[in-house]
Amino acid sequence: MKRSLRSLRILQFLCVFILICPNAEAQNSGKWRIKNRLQASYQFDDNIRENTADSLKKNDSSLRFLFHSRASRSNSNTRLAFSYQGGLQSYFRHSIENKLINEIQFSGQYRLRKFVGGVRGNGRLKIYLNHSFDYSTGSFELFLRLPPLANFFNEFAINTGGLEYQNFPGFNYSEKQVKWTISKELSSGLTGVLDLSGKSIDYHRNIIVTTEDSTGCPDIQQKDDNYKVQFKVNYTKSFLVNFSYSLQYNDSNSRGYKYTRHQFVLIIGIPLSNKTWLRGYAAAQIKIYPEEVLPIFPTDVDTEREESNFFVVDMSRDLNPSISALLRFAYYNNESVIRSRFYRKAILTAGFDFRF
Amino acid sequence: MALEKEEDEMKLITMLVFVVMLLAGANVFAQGSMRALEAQFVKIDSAVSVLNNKKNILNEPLQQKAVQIQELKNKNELNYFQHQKLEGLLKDSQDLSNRMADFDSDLRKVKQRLVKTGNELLTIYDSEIKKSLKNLATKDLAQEYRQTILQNIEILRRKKENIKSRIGPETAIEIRMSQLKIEPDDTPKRIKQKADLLKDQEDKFRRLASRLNSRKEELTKELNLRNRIHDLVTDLALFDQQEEILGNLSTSEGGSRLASADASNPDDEISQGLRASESNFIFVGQKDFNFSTLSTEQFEEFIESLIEQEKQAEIKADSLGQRAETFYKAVKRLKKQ
Repeated sequence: MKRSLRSLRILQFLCVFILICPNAEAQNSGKWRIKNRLQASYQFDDNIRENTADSLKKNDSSLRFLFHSRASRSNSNTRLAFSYQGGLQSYFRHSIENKLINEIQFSGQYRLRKFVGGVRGNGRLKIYLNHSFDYSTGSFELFLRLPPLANFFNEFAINTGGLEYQNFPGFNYSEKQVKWTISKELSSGLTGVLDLSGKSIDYHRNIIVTTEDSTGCPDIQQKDDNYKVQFKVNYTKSFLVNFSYSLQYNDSNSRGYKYTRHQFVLIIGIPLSNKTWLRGYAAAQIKIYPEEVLPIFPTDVDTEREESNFFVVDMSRDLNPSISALLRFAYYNNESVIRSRFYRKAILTAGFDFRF
Repeated sequence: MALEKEEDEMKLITMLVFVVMLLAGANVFAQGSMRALEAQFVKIDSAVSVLNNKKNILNEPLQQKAVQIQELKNKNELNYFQHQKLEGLLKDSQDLSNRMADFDSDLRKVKQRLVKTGNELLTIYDSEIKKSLKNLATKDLAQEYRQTILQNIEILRRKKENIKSRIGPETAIEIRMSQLKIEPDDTPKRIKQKADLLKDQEDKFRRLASRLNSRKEELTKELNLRNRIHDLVTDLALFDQQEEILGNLSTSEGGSRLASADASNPDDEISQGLRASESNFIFVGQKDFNFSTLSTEQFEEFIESLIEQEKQAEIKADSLGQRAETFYKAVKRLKKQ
């Protein structure tokens, strides 16, 4: 009897396997669309070590290579998308900053009558070739899109993610997030989106407690609650404008980690001619820390994980249908790993994009 | 007892899985056969175009010889050289006619296959449209899904129109155009009128191709713009930081897709498209159609269908143009004589 049950289980497994395989292959009449891009560029950075004191700034140049591959397939009910990005940056003098970055993303969605459900995920591995700042991050999300209500579209998502430094476990964290996205088409080509999210972050480190006389780290893990409201408008026709404002509040049981942040982001894209593109990207933020704390506790290890105030102007020209030349200038005034301390840097990039 | 109950449940689950598997298999088979048939249809259709072009090329010297033969026959008396020339022309004309007959025979066979494959495709499209309409009849269907279903129906209907235009009964204009030939008793003026008519039809197809081309260009620009912005943001996100920037882009793109409000009224769009196709006019897509509701893949598919329509319009225009040229040359030759 038991053998028969086992056979049935194997049969069921095989059936489900066979059921899944051809469906994944067929996906109705859709076909895989694969796009690749290879970028090679030269970059000049005037503050390579992200130093907060202008007098200590050191400049260097680097060669940068980027490979981006995207594959997607969709039909009326199903959509699958995968993306891989790999980047290598090699500096002429500061080899300590040489890095290799790998990032994968995937998403899959299925429509069942008037509901759409799906998963999204991503993973990232940043390796410093001559340094010990290596880290990996990952997240996984389940989402459900509901039928519209008075032309408002609603999506709910739950997300879990985390970060792990290879050598700095005190900065590792894991998080759980819930998200509600409401969107509405305001007019032809103009869309408004409201994002509401809340997440709970568990840091793998002890909290900081300060009294009038001393500062200590009792054996209690740091736990933050982060709430965010974001409003976005997007216009796409002959040119593209994307503007967003977000208000973020972070509550923490560790002293000095509470903050309120207002952030503004603007993205524009203007085709100047059939072959010339002007792209711009800027962000500005106001971050308020209500608690006073000694500036000795870093918030993170990798300074590149924080973007506060910056603008990027990019001009590119298509040399032929596959190759574009690009020139990009970027200026950053970012908060360093020590709160309320900023570093400034300017970056000039010149290179080529090869699409195939 | 419990084990038996469990066994019964397992059997039931196995049966259910089998049924679902059969249904899914049938679906996969249907989709696969549709794609195979579409590929076969395109192959046969291009074979028809090749044969038609060869026939048109052969038709030009045949028409020239027919005009020359008629001229010689119109003369009351022929000298030895004219007689020899007439015999040579008749022989050449006969050879060309035989070759034309061979082409016609091949063409008939290939067209029969084209009609058979086309009819099979029409049946599949009809059944897919019926299924979609059934889905559409569902109450409280979300506007977003409704729009996608309507878009799919429209794509299928366009495919149907395309198939019909390749296999179905020719339109009055097409019949008139295909029957246009130089008759032995045609005067140069009459031949010129026929040539003008062909030229006029050629111009119409050229204008249509041009309209399709400009629409394609416009949409390609919008798609390129989206892709270029995506490239910039992902470049910066890869080397600098990941969370905020990626979040901005992916949500904005998804958001716009999410917000597929009915500002452009898909019903109107499709009915306009249908009216257009009914009046023998290829649907180009309205100026203010909101493509932000389409995913990148759907966007690309739409552009590809426009390219295919443009190609067909150009082939028709070329064929009409070639025939018009032949007629004009015949007029010149007759006028010189």
